Amino acid sequence: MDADIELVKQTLQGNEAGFEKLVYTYQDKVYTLCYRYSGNEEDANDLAQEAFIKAYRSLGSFKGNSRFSTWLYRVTTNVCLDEMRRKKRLIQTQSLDQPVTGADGEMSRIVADESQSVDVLYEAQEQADYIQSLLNELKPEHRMVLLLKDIMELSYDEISKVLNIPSGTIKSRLSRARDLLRRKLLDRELLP
Amino acid sequence: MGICSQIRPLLSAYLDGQNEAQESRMVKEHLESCDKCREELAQLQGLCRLLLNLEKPRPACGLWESIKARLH
Repeated sequence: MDADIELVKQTLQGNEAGFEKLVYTYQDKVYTLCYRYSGNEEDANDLAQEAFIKAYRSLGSFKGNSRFSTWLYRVTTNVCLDEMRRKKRLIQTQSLDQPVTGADGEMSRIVADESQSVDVLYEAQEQADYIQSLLNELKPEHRMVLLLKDIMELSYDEISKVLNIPSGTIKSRLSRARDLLRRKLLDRELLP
Repeated sequence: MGICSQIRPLLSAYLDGQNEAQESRMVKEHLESCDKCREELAQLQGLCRLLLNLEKPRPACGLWESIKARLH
């Protein structure tokens, strides 16, 4: 933790190598959070880049009152929530039964049939994909709490600092998110 | 409203050891006599294991270079 603060100081003094070390230290965790939040590599790369750039530009506001990782996760979650809200607004303007205009003109929109993949869901990758699709269905606020707790393994105290919400809200969001996933996984016989 | 419907919303925080002491005692006592809620708790534990064991993907090579190019 002290090493991080030293790197922050170096960066603020104009030594970019300090920030490079911070990026290498945290890039896997930041990327995992972005990937599990967005559900795809392209968005995850964009979000992770944006998070580090925002962190760099607002590094002066890091006062060392919390761990650097907590502060960085706060920047990352804000980037994810803001960006995905923006995307959602764009997506909502397209209806599922609206035709799509492609290079060859208008074509029907093809919607994935969930029942097609039931037989192979037990394969590890299919199972992981299915879980990711369930994560994508959660409300952004619920998804983020679940990711921070069950994938990033943050404590309630850290989550409270990252998202600036009280422990009671963490409990209720986690309970709802876990219950929804539990029911869906039970339907597919992926839980005992 | 049965006791199970009061206990179920507490199971997630119980799993994390985050309930108030009194709630925690209430859940523990109930679990001793309720197969259904014990089963639900085991499912929540299974779910947490699945989530924790999901692959932690790594960023593409060159993330720092991409960031560096946009810093100035």
